[in-house]
Amino acid sequence: MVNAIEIRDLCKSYPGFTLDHLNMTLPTGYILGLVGENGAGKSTTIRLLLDLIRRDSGEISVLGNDPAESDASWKNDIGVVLDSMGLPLTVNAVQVGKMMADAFSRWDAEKYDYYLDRFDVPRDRRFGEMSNGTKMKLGIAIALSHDAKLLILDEATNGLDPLVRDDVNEVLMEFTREENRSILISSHIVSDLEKICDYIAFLHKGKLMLCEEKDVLSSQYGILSCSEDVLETVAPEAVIHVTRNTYGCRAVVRRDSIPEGHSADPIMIEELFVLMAKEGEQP
Amino acid sequence: MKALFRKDIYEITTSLKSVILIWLIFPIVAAINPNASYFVLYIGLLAGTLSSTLISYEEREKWPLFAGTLPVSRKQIVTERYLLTLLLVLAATAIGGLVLLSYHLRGYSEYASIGLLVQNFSTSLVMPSLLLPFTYRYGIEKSRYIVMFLVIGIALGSQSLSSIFERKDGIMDPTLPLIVIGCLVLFGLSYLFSVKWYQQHDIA
Repeated sequence: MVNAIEIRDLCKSYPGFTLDHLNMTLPTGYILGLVGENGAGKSTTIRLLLDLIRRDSGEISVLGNDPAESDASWKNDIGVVLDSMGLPLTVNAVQVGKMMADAFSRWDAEKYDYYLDRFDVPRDRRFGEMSNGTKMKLGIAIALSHDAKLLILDEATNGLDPLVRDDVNEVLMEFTREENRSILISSHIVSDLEKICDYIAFLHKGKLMLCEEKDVLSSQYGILSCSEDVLETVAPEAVIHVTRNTYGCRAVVRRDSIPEGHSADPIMIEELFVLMAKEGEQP
Repeated sequence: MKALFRKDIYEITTSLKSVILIWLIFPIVAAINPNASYFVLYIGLLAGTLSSTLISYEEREKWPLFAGTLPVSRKQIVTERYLLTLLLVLAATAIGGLVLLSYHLRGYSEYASIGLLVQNFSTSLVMPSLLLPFTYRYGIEKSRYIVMFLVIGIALGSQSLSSIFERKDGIMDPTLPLIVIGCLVLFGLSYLFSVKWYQQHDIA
């Protein structure tokens, strides 16, 4: 089966930023969470996938299409919500529905109505008068209403309150229950990604630090509380991050490198990423 | 492309109501008073510059990013905008034609100059032809400086051609068809440049 997304050696440079030989795969039927600090390259990666910006080098395949070479019809198969919804400020949800019916070949007006009700999006309010959260909910309703095979969400749930976010997360998991449907989602809210994602990719300053199955991540890394002497017996490449205090060391390490007689505490993925980002900043 | 047309119609009928109002009032003013025949030129110029006004709204609303996620190509996005511009300019020219016809029917034939109609059509088409490619390449902000030069250039150009446009003896000047053809060729070349430049453009 074709992977939903394949990225090979993808490079893109701006003044002050370089996306550096990115390699990443989203297998069909799974959810991949893209995390990283502001400016890490998440939005750049997503915009390259959508051919909104041109790559300097590398290869991209989205649902088997090279976005830079294919005609635009392949976008019927993807639902996209970017961090800011770019609809005319004076249109309402009903008019947006008519525009989308003209744009997408498999637009499902009933499903759109269903999601407007489910997300409590007012039909008669102008887009410019909607709150940021409502705008995002409208975007998610659009993305879910044209039988897409792949959802690409860039910080789409960040403006939502916890209740709606929970509902959206549920909808996203429902989406992938149907065969051959995949999601790429970037977010700062790692706890949400931890709930719904099968794979996690961590970008830091334009470089992919890791891309791994979520369960493997949790099982491979742990927190080792020990003395400096014990830490010195751990292979340096297995130590992700160390904090030292008067009682000893607290280190994020690969579990397979822990010295005999010691054990590591479980680590939350959010904690792991914060520590890895800090490690990345060290000289 | 139908979605793009629909979006533009929504945008014009909601955000740009003043334009519609001018389109309604100016021809009436021109029709009532033959001395105000130049009012028909305004609706043509409005038609010609409406595409840039729409792009300015779109940049503010981040529409290009959203449009880039839809199953429409960049070529279709540019094509729709040029077709819309052409339709609006033709509509403005037709309205101008009706105003001039009203002069003729009411016995003011000396004001019913075909030159005025050609001037209406050509200046309305030259403006977007020169402006749109730069807008698609550099964005509306940077293109504003180019607009200023264009307005001055077009004003001077119209001035120098006024002897052709203002001929009121009812005989068509032989250069008028050439001017129309030249404007259409310029519009076509402008479209090709816009497509090429927008396809290379990073949408941020």
